[in-house]
Amino acid sequence: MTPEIATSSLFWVILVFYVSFVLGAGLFFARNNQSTEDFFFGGRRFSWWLIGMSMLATGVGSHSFAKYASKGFEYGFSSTMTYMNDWFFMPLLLFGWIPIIYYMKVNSIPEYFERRFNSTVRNLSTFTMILYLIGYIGIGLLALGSLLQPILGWDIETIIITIALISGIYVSLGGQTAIIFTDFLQGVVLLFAGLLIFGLGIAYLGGFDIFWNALSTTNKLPLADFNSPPDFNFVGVFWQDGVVGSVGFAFMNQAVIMRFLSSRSVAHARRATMMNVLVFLPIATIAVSNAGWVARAITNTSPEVLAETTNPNSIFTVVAGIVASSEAVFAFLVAAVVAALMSSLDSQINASAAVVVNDIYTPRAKNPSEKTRLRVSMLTSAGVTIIGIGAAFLFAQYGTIYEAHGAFHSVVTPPMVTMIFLGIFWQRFSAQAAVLSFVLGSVFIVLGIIYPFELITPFAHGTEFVPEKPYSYIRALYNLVACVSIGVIVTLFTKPPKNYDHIKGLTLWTIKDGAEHFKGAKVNPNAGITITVPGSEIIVSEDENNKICLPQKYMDQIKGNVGDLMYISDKRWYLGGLKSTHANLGSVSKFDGVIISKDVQRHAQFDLSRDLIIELEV
Amino acid sequence: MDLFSHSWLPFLYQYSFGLLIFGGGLFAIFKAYGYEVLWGEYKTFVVALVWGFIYVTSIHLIMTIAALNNAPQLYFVILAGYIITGLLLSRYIR
Repeated sequence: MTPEIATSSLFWVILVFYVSFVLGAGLFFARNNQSTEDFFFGGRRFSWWLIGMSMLATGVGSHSFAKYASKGFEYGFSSTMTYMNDWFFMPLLLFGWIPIIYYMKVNSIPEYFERRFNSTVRNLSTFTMILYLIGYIGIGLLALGSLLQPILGWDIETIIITIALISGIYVSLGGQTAIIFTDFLQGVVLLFAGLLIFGLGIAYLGGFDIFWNALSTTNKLPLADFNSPPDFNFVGVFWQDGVVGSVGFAFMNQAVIMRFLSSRSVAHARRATMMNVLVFLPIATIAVSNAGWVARAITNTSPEVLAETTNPNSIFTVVAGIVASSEAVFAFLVAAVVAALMSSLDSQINASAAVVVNDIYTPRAKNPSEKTRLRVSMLTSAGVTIIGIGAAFLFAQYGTIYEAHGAFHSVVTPPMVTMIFLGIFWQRFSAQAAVLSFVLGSVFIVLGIIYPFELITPFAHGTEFVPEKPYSYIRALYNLVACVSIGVIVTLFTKPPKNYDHIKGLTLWTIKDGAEHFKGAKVNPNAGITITVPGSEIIVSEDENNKICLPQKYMDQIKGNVGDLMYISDKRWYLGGLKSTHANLGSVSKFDGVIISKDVQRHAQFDLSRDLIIELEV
Repeated sequence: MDLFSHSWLPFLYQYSFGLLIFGGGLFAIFKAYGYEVLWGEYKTFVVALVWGFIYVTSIHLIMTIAALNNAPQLYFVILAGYIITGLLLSRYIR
């Protein structure tokens, strides 16, 4: 049952203003896109806090509000149980995967696979990656459709198409810089809105004690029952969401990879990731789930206000309609959910375009110009949005969004997760093993779909077999074991290579070579030294290269060598790196001032009346 | 009502596997970078990693105790841990 919520023109004014603001931001930042590197990676220059919040906004989509609030309504606090499992993988992510992709300048996961293995693995992973991203777009669209349906009263297909068109236009024009900045704002908005609805809900119920006492003990436990019921049990969700989903999101989600690559340095990417998981995610966990907890408390105390039979998928909007003290507040809460969708949808659309351009178009086109690549990127963004609409219609037939997302993750992610993990952490893992673990692994996955009882039951940990939706979550464990086993067995039966020179910098064990590869020369042990230069000392030359030349006094301070990498930024921290760029250190300047080339200035758009920070990198 | 399968069993399962994955990862990066390099150059990051694991585990631990003993005031401990973690990360991680 989905109750309808009445709205007036004030509601629509606020909602339309917000969406227009987001579109305007996209158009504003579009002027910074001069190349595909800008379009996809924002020029690799942003600060940790901007990247961290933007990663949060990418991870927390409207599907999160729909998924977690619905399970919060049905089962209580355990709706959040896998939200922080990412930390288990942090050592490998921060000191393995991030430096590998950053220093080796890996633009996409399929590109990594070609360099680590061969082009066959790249092609297989490109297909899976696009499927994965389009699935994410589809889930996001469906979730927002479900949440907005009680307000709009339109059929879900119309809502999905409308939202997809708006998001598609803005991402196609704005690119990564637009995404990072609007995501930051949207991240703040959605966290604030999530906490606001919690506060309003507690006030509506009459205080925290009433809220707490309205929930049963099982509602308040943070983890679900070990293996029942079949539609939400701990062990299945742990393997599907906590392990496969976490690894999939952090290691193979192209949108997240692009955030790492948009950071100004590896250290900033690491810091952003840590802050995201330990500081931003706990608030996000409460923000996305609490509408469900409040709904459960209202249903337990006043079933005449909120019926037990209310559709869990739209519980966020329904609760917002009940607890919001005014229509303006309600409009703000709904806008926040729209923000959540936009901020995850834009990232996934941009990421899909990156994969298509880097892994399908560029390898096959004959030296396409930057302008052509940029145009193809924009067109692809629009194309994947349209396909995403189709995926949303497909998922709509599944039932609950939580289960649809879970089943999708369980099937699509394990082969890629296996290839990435074994590829990074086991040098001997060969191309043949990667291909076979992908192909044979997929065969086993399909067999698991056809014969779930026979094949998955041994992994089921006692989870009940439901013929209509067999082992929605725990099949992730079966799929993972199948793919990893094939990879390990084939590798052990394959002759190991004589040396690993061809994969320098591409595995954890050869990571020391990464920084040197990134720089293209010996690493400078003085990296990290920073100087501040008044903008009045900057001279912009007519040279068309990417160089900065320092006078002797600054060369002595910074202890740089010709060819070293430099990071130059406006001193104002709150710009988050928007006015910054990387350049190579040229020979000592003959003048007293700092000389930067025309290209450096064009890229960074420095305000030369302001101080600049110059840092020696790598 | 026996709540073991709803509380401590999933907790033990999650953090046993979690410790295995996290510990294995920590061991691997120490081996790959070398003890001197990792501890010498990235000491604060490594300390933050271990602190993070303890912090994440303690959230579920405290929530479980709070639910089983009907003690919502324990959430203040989580809040204190959250503030300390936020301050430490923003102050010391560079």
